[in-house]
Amino acid sequence: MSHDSSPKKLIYMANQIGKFFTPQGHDKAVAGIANHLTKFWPPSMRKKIVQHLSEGGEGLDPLVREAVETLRAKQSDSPTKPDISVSRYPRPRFRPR
Amino acid sequence: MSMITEIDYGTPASRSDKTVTLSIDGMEVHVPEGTSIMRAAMEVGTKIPKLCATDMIEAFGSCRLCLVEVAGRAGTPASCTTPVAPGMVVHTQTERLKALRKGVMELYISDHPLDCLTCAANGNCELQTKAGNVGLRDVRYGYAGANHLADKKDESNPYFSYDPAKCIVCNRCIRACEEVQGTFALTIDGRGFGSRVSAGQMEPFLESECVSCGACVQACPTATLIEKSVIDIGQAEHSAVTTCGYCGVGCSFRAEMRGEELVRMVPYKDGKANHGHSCVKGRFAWGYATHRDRILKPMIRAKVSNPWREVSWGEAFAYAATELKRIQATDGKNSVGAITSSRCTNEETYLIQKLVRAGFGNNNVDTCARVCHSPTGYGLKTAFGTSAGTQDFDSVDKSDVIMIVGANPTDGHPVFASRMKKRLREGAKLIILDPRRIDLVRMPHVEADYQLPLQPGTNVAVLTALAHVIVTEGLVHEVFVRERCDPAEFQEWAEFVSAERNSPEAVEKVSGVPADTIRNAARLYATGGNAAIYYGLGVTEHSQGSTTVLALANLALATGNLGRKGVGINPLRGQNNVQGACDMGSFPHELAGYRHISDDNARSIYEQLWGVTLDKEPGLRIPNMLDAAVEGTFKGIYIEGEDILQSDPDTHHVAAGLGAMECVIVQDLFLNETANYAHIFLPGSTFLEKDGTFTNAERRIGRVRKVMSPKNGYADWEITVKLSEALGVRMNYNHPSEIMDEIAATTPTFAGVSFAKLDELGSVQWPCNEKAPEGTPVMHIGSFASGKGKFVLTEYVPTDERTGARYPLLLTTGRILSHYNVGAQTRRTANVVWHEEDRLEIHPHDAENRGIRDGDWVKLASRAGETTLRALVTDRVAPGVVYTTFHHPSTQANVVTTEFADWATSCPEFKVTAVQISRSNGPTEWQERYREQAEQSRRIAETTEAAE
Ligand code: SF4
Ligand code: SF4
Ligand code: SF4
Ligand code: FES
Repeated sequence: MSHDSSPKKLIYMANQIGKFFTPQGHDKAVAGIANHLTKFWPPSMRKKIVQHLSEGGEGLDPLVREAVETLRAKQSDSPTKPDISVSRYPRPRFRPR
Repeated sequence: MSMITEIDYGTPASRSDKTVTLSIDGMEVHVPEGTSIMRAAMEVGTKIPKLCATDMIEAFGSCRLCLVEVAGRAGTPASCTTPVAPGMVVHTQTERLKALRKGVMELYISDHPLDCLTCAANGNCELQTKAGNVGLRDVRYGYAGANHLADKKDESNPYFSYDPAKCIVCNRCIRACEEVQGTFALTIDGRGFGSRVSAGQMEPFLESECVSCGACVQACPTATLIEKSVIDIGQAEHSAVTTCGYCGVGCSFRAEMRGEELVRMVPYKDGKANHGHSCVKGRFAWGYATHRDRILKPMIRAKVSNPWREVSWGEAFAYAATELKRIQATDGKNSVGAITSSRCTNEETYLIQKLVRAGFGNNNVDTCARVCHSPTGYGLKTAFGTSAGTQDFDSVDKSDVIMIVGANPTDGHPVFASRMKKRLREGAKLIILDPRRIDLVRMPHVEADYQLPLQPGTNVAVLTALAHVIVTEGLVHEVFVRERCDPAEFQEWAEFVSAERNSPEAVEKVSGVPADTIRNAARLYATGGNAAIYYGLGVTEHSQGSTTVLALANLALATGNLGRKGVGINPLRGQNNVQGACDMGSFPHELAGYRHISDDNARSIYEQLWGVTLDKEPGLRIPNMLDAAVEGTFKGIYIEGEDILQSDPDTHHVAAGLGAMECVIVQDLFLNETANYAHIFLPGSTFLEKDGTFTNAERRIGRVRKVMSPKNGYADWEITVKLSEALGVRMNYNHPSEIMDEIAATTPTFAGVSFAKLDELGSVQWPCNEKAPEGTPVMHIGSFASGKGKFVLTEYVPTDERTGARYPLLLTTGRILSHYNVGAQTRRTANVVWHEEDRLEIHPHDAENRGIRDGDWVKLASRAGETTLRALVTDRVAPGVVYTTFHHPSTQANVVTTEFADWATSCPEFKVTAVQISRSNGPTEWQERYREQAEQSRRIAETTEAAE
């Protein structure tokens, strides 16, 4: 397992989540994994794992793969905007003292 | 501010609910049955002279000063040991009593030095007061006879001295050590006139069993046992009640002051978490607040290789704001974030998450609970609907069975441990799950009924095996399960745990715990009466941390051990405000009160109040931030009160992440390890220098009161406010009470909390709202926050951190009584006398195989890194397991811990690392380099240079 949020680490983390939900049976597990990823992973990490799936999804356990598929379906419904927006402070009248 | 004095009623309160009416000196008095005459008198303001009695301990009846007359009874009974009776008529002051008391007093004084004027207790000595009370005017016996006036002082304890010449052998200290602290360190040596108080076997205090809790000092009516700070400074003249800044017990103290100088911290009897008890940290280890290492001026530098340059606050804020804005302008709004700490007050944490969400425009905020109790939040929320422990501390008095899992209360939560020990001495049964033999396994008058010394990493297997026994042996509390849980979920779970692979016999093979022990422990937990679970980081800091919390919750649900006194699931929180930090919305996915950031209703409350649109997606956790930094997408961070370089796993990786950032802002008391990588240093204030609240492990919100002005110029909340304002985010608060008002107005579980209420009630436990205006000591009575209690399947998944030929031993970590967390505070106090360095505990068998002797330098290596420290050969750890603490930066135990983490919360797997140990000659090259770099990094430019 490497350090950055490279697919290798994300795959490991996603499979780890998968192992917790697997005993709950197919449907609950897929929903559980997808829900966990949505609730706790920031969009940047979700995007990467979806991207990895699109590139073949190697290394993802079967139920995890299905869960990531549901994320992909959701993402194509509402594409995440690229994250380059400049911060929007409520009061941009900043003056250094 | 005036001096707060607490009344000493002489004997403890009776818990009876029956009332007895009697007459004392002609006054009618109503008190609970079982109350002593002495206490009943004090209830109506009549002080019967006393010496051997004090209300923190049971009456003893030895000094004979408290005699009274009772109509119809012969003699003069001691009022401290005589309980009231209906219709009793008591006289506390008669000619006979006066003469008797004077005689008693005269004997005491005849063997007591009469140096009151120069005595440190002058003005605050019970002997002196009582001599005055009984009207003693002369002493007929001179000092010619045998006396103890030349006895030698024991100054070995760094915080208090023992001057036997002043001892009146009242036994209060001995009883306090036994009854309140439960350490049994003191005895009376000798007999009759020759009897003296002695620590251990006539040892100096420091070498005895004494843990320096201070209970004996508090109990002592004379200057025999007295704080050295009082000897140095003199008696205090005013005081304020505040909350300890160390551990999650959250003890209340009276901070006793002279001007702005702290004289001593005295545990507050009315404190609901500690009831007048304390440990060495809160009681004595506050010297760091004025330590010369404290940084008092803001500093900046363009590169971390430059020396620091002291600047004005204005320049520091402006520089920080410019940098953060610059980074966001070039790398996007998600390229910055903040970390808050469990050492911050609730108000400070709330402001930091507000700054991030409203100011940075993202949710990249996290707290150090990430590395300790984040699985508790996840697990308990999933099971019961609330991310918090279920009981108050007092609940333990009603427990019949106590199960401790992965916690070491006598070191980590000492004051609560004393309560627990008291209950255990009264006969409660004890089950301990821990790979290491913690003190509670066997100590004076306490012995665990079952100890389950499991292999590190097998918690889930063992807990599921306990459930297996409960289900397959028919020990389920069916009524509770039927009424309070979902039957289908229960059914599924019961089938799951009943599977053969979860039987104790199968689990014995992976955990090393004999099947019989698992069976017996399960039977005791399920059938022994009120059973309570207390757990610590040995549960959470695993790759299955969250699963383990759920497994504990399953056990409590299945046996109906929830929703009343004496039962429940109780996380023992490490730092003072872990609970509060989590409550205040410092996780990247949650707003205050554990409302998910995607919750439109919750978000809209803040959007309206703050006038911004909030991001509805979770932000980065600490490890995500570090990964993103290494990747180059995360570049600026504001860290308040947290030393991630020392406390987080895999130091090399943390260093790489911090090193890759362009703007690291550290707000702390000292140039901590993280500050080696900082560009901006904002000097912080201590808990003595600010107002606010801390929330302890039992959800109790207690006040922190400012007793001195911040030496750095600003309280921490003011620094965050000013930083926000420099960034253009308005924060309009004049006092932390206004921040709490905002929290209350926006967070349903805190709706009823205000500083005014805390002043009135002392403290409250959340939820505190319309339904529970005075708070909620015990949760889930009648129903769960989420409706039904949830059974969750807990499949054991072995950690991927495995031993092998290269790394054959398992390292687990912990801490000790005298130090706190990374030690930044306690290492700057005399507490170092108890623990100068981190040691590696290793079993004699493993030590011998490697030719290691006690005290040898050893190299501790894992696949993440290596460090050296000295060995402590002991059979406290099992063969194959080694153990160390992480209080000292020179050891850097986290150099060897790995990036494996809890599947749900990314809480690091601190408790399991495969390692190898070998002999070594001293520090590793890395340690040397680190030391050098740290020294380099801490340079502060001379003011002349700074002025350039
Ligand atoms: S300081 Fe505490 S442990 Fe030490 S002798 Fe006194 S009561 Fe006992
Ligand atoms: S040391 Fe203090 S408390 Fe202990 S016996 Fe002597 S006078 Fe009493
Ligand atoms: S460190 Fe903990 S147990 Fe000790 S005094 Fe402080 S809050 Fe109490
Ligand atoms: S106070 Fe009652 S006998 Fe000492």
